[in-house]
Amino acid sequence: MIRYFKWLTLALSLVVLMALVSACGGGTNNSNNTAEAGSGAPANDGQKADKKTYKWFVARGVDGPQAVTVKEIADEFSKTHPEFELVMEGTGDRPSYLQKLRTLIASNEMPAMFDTDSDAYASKLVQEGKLVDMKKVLQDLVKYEDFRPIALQYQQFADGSMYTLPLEFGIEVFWYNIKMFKDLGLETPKTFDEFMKVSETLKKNGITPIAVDGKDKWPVLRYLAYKPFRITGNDFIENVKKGKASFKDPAGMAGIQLVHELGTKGYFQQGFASTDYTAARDLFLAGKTAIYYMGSWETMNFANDKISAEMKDNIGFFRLPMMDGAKTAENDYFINSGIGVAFNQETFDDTMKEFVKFLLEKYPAAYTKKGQFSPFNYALDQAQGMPEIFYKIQDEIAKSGSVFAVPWDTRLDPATNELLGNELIALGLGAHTPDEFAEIMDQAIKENAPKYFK
Amino acid sequence: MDNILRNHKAVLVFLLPAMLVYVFTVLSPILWSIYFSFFSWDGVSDMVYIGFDNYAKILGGDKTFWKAFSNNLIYVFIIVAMQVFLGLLVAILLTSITKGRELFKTLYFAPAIITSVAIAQLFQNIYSFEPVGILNYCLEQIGLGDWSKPWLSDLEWALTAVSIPEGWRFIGLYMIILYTALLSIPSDIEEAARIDGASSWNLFRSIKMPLIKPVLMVSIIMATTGALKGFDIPYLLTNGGPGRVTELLPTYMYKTAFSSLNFGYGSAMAVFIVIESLIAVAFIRRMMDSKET
Repeated sequence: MIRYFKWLTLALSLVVLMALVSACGGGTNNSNNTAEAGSGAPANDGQKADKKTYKWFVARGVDGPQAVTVKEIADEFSKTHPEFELVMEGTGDRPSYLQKLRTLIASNEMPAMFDTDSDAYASKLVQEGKLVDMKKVLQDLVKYEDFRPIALQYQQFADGSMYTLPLEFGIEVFWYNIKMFKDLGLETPKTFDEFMKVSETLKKNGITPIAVDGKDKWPVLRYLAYKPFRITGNDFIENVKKGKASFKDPAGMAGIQLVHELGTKGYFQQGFASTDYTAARDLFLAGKTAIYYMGSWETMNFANDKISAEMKDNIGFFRLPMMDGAKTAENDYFINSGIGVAFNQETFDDTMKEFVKFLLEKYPAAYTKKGQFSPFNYALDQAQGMPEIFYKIQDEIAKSGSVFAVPWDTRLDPATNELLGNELIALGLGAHTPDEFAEIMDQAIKENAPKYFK
Repeated sequence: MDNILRNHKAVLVFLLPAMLVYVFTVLSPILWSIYFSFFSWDGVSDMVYIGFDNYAKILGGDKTFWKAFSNNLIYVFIIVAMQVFLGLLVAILLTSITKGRELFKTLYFAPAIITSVAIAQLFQNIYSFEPVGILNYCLEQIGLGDWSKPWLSDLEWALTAVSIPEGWRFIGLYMIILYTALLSIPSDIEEAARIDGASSWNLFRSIKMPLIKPVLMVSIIMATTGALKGFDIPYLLTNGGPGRVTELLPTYMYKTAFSSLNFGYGSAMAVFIVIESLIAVAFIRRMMDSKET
């Protein structure tokens, strides 16, 4: 018996040793492979035109207007550059996308192109020298001036450097049901006090005031940011993320109280914590709620030919309300150029450069004709026959201010972000008092921020 | 054949391939997790060795972790209760009918082969509040409208609500296992007991239970470890929310590693889950053994 036991131990330890050795070996092999694949490895040495495959990891479905437009342009480019091939992989749900992307990068398999906000994680990649300096690329191609200034500013890090290319542009407004407002004799609110009164009146008359997507968390996060933005501009978030300000400051508490009030008074639809993006939009479009806050990227979904008969010509929008002592102007609100595209430094060769140049020339017209607002200075005139609501938003964009609110989830470090999303919903459900919530957030930042902001 | 089986070296050689697969798919990830758990690493910058700090953080009052842990225990309790005990009940009922047995077996087993995503969607609709889901609709119809609520967003009910789909899903699986065990009881024992005048309850308690005990134990172990690593349905239904009321250890571990980008701390939690599962199995075995004596 003892003999066999020895035998077994020997065999086992051998196996474990083998596993360890091969795992280590595998690790190094892997990085070699990616380096090769990354630099566009020739598929066949014998062939004249080496096929180079570039992968774009897309943070939306690959059938979204941005991805479709880029794909069309890439296919056109491949006709004159047969060696070029763009492959796309899309993940619609943002948390899953980020998890996949970060796991790929952690295992040394960064895609040639991928979508990312200019957040704390991206800034780490920049520090490691992994991303292409997009500002420089655009300046070299003399394209920098063609963009709407805000579209580029939005992509910048706090220090003004820019490593991502914007593909979209949007303002965020409160969409509202015109008929519901009219029936109750309500005006669109100009201040937050009016906003609360409007909500109160709606609620009293049996109408759920606001539809919000609580499952994805960021739409609720916007509500937290409104008042701090009105009071301090973006100073509050830029300071608080580093622990230089506290959530207990007046600006922070104002934001926290707003979410707490909207949630506990039942101004958000009941069960908002588990309502997802489309469900929230459908509540508004089905006439079950009066107000819905969302970006102009939804404009085409609110056009008459897309909605039910009762909702036709029944959707209006108003701007982010004002408040006493506001530091930002009425036409300053959330404006953004969406999640940008970052390019892998390792795979950014001449072919890729050519492609970017080609893309920048074709993109504005192709994208706008899909009923989207492009980050370029490019507008469609009435003759193009777009829906009325499209032109209304286009006008509003032209009137928008020069200071824009930044989404908090693109500013905070990943760990605090994760926590904030969860606790914020709990705040809205009344599980935390505003003071408790402020305390939790301050603690989290104290613990997590030093790893990302020095 | 006998000769080969008698030769222990040959047996070992044949066991080796399975052993290799096991080492690669089970043992080496565990070893890697243990290794990573000693580091602070965000996936981009260099790994920093921090010794037992991650474990100290777990033991030193990471409130979310212990909240997830206690949620996990409730989750396990609900699931084992549903899967094994409802499974056993259905199995017993099945043995007592003759017509339509196959039909019921197939119907009850069906949820086990549906993917988690579909089940999550299904229950999202059942629990839905606006538009009104089946559950709330039924409550209203039977005059319990006051009870209707957004189950998945309710701070008190959300954990139960995410536990039930997972429990319901595998009732059929444990039903089949326990049903087979019940069938394998020799019928002469049963007849002898009946002749001696045993009631149905006595028959079940003193004859059937002891005979299916080994299978029952395996079932409880499987259900418990399955629930301890429960992930997909809670993740899909509520993603741990609202707040942390449906956060389980595996979902918290996953988020810590892949959303908060704290691979080291996530690995430490993974190691904790392994140890916790081993302890749970040992505990169940101990309990079942002690009953026997």
